Amino acid sequence: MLYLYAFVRESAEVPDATGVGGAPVTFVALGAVAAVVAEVDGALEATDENVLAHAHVVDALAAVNDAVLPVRFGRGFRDRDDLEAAVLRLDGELKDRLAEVSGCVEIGLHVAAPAQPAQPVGSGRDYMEHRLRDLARADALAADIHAPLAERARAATRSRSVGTTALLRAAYLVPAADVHAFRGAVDEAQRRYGELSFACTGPWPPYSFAVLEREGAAA
Amino acid sequence: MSRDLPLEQQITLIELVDRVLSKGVVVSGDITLAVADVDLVYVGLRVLLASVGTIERLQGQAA
Repeated sequence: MLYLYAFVRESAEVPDATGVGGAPVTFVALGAVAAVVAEVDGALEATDENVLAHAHVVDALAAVNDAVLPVRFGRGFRDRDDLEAAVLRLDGELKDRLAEVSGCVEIGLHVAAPAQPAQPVGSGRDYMEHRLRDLARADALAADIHAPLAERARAATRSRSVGTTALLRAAYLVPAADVHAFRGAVDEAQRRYGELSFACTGPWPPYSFAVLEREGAAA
Repeated sequence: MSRDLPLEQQITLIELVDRVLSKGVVVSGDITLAVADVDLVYVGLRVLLASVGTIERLQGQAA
């Protein structure tokens, strides 16, 4: 079976890396893009070891190429023909995505608020009104932190359904040359909102920006 | 996954595993492997996330 790690440009460089199960990584040109794959035997389990091996190959690719679209863990094809048939349908979209992430890395951000002590409230209606006000405030605060960072980024995504404690969970696609300045902007936000805790991670290969349109529409 | 790592490394590890398992391109027509095991990894991660949330709150109160 051909196990799939990432898509790169046809002209990309493939590092001398081994991935899951120690199999060497190779390169299959498919129209406008190329797939980075390895021959793997049998089923592959989502152990920490395999997940980290997948991440390691994507990291090695990103270290020597300016455009890498990571593939989600655990994706394989029976053979080259199956891979080619599936990829040729997405050719144009994969090429556009590669252009979008070109030269960029992903920066992750979590912002959390300190837990509020439980307040004694009267009726259930009072409680719900309090809760809704708190959520609206948290949402406005998250938007205030997110908007100026998103403006600095080539693209940004924000996870929904956060509560009053986990305020913001976001990813930003940032040109590699601007990472230092972007982190500076995060530090500035952290100083301004001193009561919140910020956790900034990365730079990552652009996993969060390698989700195709039709997946997003189906979700 | 070790629970003895410092907070920053724990968050980085969680973020990494989350990206590899739930982000990235999915090409329809592929063979998805070991789905049940992916769920198992997620269960472990949720536990770890819960503990990180607790540590963040403690830090927030101390600051």
